[in-house]
Amino acid sequence: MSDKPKIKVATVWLGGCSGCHMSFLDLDERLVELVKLVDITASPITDVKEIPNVDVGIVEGAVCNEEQEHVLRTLRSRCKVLVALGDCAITGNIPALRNQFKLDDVLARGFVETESTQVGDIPGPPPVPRLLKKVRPIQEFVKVDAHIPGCPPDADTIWYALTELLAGRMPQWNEKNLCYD
Amino acid sequence: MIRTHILVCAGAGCISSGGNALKDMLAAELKKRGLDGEVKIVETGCMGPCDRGPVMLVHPEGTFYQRVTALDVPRLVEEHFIKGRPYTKLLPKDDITANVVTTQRDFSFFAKQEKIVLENCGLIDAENIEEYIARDGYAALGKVLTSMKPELVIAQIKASGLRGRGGAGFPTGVKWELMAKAPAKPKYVICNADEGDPGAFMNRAVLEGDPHRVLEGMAIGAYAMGSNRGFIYIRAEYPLAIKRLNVAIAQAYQHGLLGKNLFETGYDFDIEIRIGAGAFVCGEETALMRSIEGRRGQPMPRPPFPAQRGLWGKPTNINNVETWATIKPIILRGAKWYASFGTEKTKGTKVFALAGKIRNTGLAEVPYGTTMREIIFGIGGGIPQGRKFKAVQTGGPSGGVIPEQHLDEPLEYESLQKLGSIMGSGGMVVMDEDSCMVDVARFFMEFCCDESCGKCPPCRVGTRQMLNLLDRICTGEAGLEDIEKLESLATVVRDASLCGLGQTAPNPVLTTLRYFRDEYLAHVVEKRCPARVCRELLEFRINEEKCVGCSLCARGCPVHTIFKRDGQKKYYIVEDACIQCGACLDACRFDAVLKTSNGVNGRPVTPAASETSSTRATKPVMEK
Amino acid sequence: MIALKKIKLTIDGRRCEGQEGQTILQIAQANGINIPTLCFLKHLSPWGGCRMCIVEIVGSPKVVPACSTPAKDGEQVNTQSESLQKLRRSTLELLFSERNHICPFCVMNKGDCELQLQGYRHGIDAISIPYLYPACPVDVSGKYLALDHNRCILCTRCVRACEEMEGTHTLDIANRGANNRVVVDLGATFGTSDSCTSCGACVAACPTGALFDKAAAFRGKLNTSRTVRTTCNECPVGCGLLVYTKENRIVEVFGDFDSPVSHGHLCVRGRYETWAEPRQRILQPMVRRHGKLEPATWDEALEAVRQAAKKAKPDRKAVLVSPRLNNETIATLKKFERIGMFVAQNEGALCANGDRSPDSIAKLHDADAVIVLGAQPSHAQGVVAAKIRTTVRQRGAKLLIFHTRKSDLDRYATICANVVSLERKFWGRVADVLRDAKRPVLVYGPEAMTPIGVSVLERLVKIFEAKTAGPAPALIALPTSPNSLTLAAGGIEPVEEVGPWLDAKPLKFLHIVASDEPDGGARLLDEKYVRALLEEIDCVVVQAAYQSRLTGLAKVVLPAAIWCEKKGTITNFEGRELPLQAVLPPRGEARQDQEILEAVLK
Repeated sequence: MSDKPKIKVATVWLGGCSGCHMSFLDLDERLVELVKLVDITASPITDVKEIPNVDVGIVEGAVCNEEQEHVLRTLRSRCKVLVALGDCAITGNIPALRNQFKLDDVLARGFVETESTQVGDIPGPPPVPRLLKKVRPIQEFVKVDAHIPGCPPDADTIWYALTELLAGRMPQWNEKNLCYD
Repeated sequence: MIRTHILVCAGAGCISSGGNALKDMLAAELKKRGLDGEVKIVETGCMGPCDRGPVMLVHPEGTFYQRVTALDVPRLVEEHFIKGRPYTKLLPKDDITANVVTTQRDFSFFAKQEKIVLENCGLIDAENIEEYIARDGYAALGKVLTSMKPELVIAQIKASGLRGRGGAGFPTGVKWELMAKAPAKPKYVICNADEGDPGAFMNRAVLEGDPHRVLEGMAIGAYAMGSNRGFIYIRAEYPLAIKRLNVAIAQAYQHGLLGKNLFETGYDFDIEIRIGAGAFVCGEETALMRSIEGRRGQPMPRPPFPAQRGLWGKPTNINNVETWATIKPIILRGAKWYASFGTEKTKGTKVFALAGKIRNTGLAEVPYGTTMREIIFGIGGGIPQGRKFKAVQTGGPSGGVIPEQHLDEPLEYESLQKLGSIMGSGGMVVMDEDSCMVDVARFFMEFCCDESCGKCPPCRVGTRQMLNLLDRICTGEAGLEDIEKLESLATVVRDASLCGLGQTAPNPVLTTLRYFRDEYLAHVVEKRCPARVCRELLEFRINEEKCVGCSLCARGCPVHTIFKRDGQKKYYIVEDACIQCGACLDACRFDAVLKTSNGVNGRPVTPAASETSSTRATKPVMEK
Repeated sequence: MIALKKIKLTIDGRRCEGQEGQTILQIAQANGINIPTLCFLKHLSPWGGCRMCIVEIVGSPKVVPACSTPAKDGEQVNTQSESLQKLRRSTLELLFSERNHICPFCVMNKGDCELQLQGYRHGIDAISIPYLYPACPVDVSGKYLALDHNRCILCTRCVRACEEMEGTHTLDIANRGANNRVVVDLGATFGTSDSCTSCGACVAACPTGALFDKAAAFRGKLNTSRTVRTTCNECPVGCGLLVYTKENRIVEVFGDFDSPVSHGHLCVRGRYETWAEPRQRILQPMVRRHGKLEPATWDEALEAVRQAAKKAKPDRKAVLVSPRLNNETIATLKKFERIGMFVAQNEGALCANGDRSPDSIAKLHDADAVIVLGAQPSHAQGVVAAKIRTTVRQRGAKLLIFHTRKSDLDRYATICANVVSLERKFWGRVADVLRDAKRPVLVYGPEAMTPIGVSVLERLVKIFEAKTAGPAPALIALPTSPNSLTLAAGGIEPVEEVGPWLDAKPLKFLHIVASDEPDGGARLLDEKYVRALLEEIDCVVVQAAYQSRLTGLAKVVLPAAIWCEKKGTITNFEGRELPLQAVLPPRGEARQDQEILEAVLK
């Protein structure tokens, strides 16, 4: 048993496809190494929803609705280092495609004009969170300390970034390790 | 026998305030009184004090009349031309001495000016070439063509120290020399009459009031540089100037002063007018040339310079209207004479256009080295309605703002650059305490963003991003990091842009940040607009002690958010729905509506009604 | 040739030599110094707009774009200072923020996109400014190419390629500033464009996935594909092709910039029609049994052919070939007794009288007067039309058109006489226009061989003889078919009217070599009586790559190789011998034309 306290990590997924978390799981055996150093607290993987105070917060996905904004701000206020994982969190990516249309049109297309719907109704809060007018990357809401680009970033890239952060360094991105998809 | 001349200003400014009706009425009244044989009306170009228009000057007395309307004419004719005494109602009051001015000579607005470029403006009928000729018109061209070699002309321009008046201030003689050396043929000369800076109308006055001096200057320059063809590129928004130029060119051709074999020397010179289509960027010389070629007006990188490869790939020399207008006096009166005006580094005079919060809006020509204080307060008459001076923007939308503490700096290229501004084409927009400097920066950034040609990303996207940041600062949505972003973007746009538009677009932002940073901080930290201009940061309240319950404010409110207190004759504003339009302030006659900007201390921070969540970065939404 | 002065300058501390007139970028690249670029393309005029190639010159306060700034002797240039890197990175961030550059579903993703590459090279993991998310349209109305404005960086490489290579100026930028948009024909779409010729030069020039070929999308990454250079066989110009393949399928076809004929340009036929059109390929030999065409082996099919040929007397057999066969087939064809080559109307006379003018394309480039007589380059030789357009529009050459069907070239012509007048006043005007011509070129096609064409030629000759100064025009014959001039010179008789040729002596056996004609040879049936004549022949063998009405008439069908499978050489209209390189092995059972003919002869 090591005396060194484990680094506490929390992860959330916002407006994303969960692919970045799947890619994280692609670390395979390296996960075993990872959990020796790291304590994953709240996460979709552990299915723990309440976010405690942690050292590192990892965010997948863009901010699309009020609930996601709330979760993001909560995590930011409870972590020291916030990491944006994947293109959705960094650029908006595919969820942000809906920014090209008016929100009302998007909702109508999704809930009223769908081909098999007979009587459509647009859900709202509660319980469905209200959509924001524009989908935005997380850094337009909170300060982000590190980014891991990719859609999803592959396991090697995630491993590189995490090991650098655990060693107390910022990952250095260049032509050799950058990939936008 | 004509014993009196009435010079009626027919510049665009005075015409737009009723000058044509005035002139017609005057002519009719003089005829009615049988004076049309003794009193001659001459329509001249701009006299200068445009704010006081329509203006007129009566010679030989030198009486200067301001704000003359058609209705004043019968009394004016009665008093001045029948009874022989000035019509005091229309006499101006001097800003400095506060005396009534009886002759133009006593008017400090004119007394402090040195009119070289504007020497004929306001004096001659621009549509009569003979009046121009009577004032030594085309004598310089004659002298040059018959007795001066091209090299000598260039030497004289160099010795005069003349610098380009378009804004860059490049020594004109050196520019001409480079063009003269270029071997390719044919060569072209161009007059840049695009004058796109908002608030600039110096060139317009010269083109409307004394167009021949521009034609003469171009012919002299073309001869010196080896060109036989000239273009005047003039903005479409100057129809009067275009008309006067067309008349002037036609008359010059008729008199053999343009066209073939001028002055029997074998030298040919033709001038053509090309009209712009509403793009500020086409005032940039390479974009201007592409526009003349019939292509999209986009600047090209320099080098190669127009003197090497310009219009249709041939050597081309482009100068501003004012530069061309200075050539004739230099040739006639000598380089030494011209160099006696101005400072060591910048010779001669400059026409400045005074606009904004200033008593005497209009044109003033002064020697370089005059201080800004002298122009603004000496000639300009200072700030009206007892307000305080805050800043002056020099050089158009790409210029910077200069605060009160630097007003004693001399007006010349280098000293303005050190202050973070530019000379530009000579526009001077004065601002008082009611101007919000952040709003001013935002206004000019919107202009540059709108006028950007879009060729290079730093200007095309950079100005748009800067504008978005400024919008957010003005609406109270920005944080301190947004000011950092603004400064960072400003240096990128300034250093990476292709042409002068992008390179100077950040100047208003950079200078307002330099001299008025506290206003930015107030907007961002306190959500307060010290000048009470930025709408989203204003609160409107009714001082119920002064309110008499007339209900004018409530009736005029477009969003119906002013209500009557139950049981009292008092009104109050429900702030949530208020859109800060100021209609209530305009309506109230009892001084009971208060417009304040108290910032976060003054009102609760609520999200904008139109957005579910438009607030970002510093404004938390789900705050309980 | 004036020898250009040599200059020396220092770039990043290295001494570099170059010539006066070269740009800083040219000298840097020649010395192996890498300066990032986005809007620069070697074969297009420099733009200086993307601000990526900005460099610092010691002693100068402002940065300059290396691509357009002439290098000066003795100057010191820095290309990699910290401030330059910061400016370049910021410019890239601005570009990324401006539109919707979403890599994951883009056709150029994973190594084919220059914007992505610059992002990687500058270490951009995230941008520091907000995204603008504009709503940009996607134009997929074009037959072969599409334009996604979300990916456009407004570099204008497409605009310049269209203007400087194709000459139609179909593309330009509309609006101003942040509203800039690449526009087709003042606001049309590719599908409704009047002027677009689908030459695809814009797609080839586009650095991102904004302009892309529909048929090539997601077929493979160019940066990991195999490339083969070959020659287009659709017309007598013989443009160079650069073909990208992956796993035995064609990914995309571009022009070969090393081609001495076309310098990277193509027309719609070689650029798209050969591979992006759905065509029914014949993949195995077929023999007609019991009235129906049934698949057979090569041995079976060849045996059937030989048997049928044996049954007919020598003067009752004939071979009719496509004029696109390569030079190597000539020797084999001569072994047949009666051999003919089906050509376009009047082309036979052109084959007999046509001159091959070396470096014709270069002559067109330098011409100051271009006369087009009886030829249709816009329809049949796209790259020649492109050359004429660019020479007229960019270098100020005068264009005169005689006895030629209406085409887009008409609008650039100083004299446009689709129908020729014989009036003296008209020809006086022609003489006026040609008076100052110092480098005239006369391009003539099949219709120049008609009586009207000949009379125009005579009048032109008279005008040139009467001129006091200036040389006679370079004469350039422009046939319609790819290799008809060479085959005719090799002794293969051009046949303009197939009906009379077939009817001259009733045949019992006819072997039609349609090769990879796009229509499979079916146009033969459009001529009167030919179908009836063919039906009377006992055995018609059709050797073709594509199914058509013609194969429906055959007794035996032999599958031929197509353009990307062919080997050999052709000779273009300039007289240049150009190689056909097999890009892929023949599909199915298809074989080279010559191989099949040799086998038939055995």
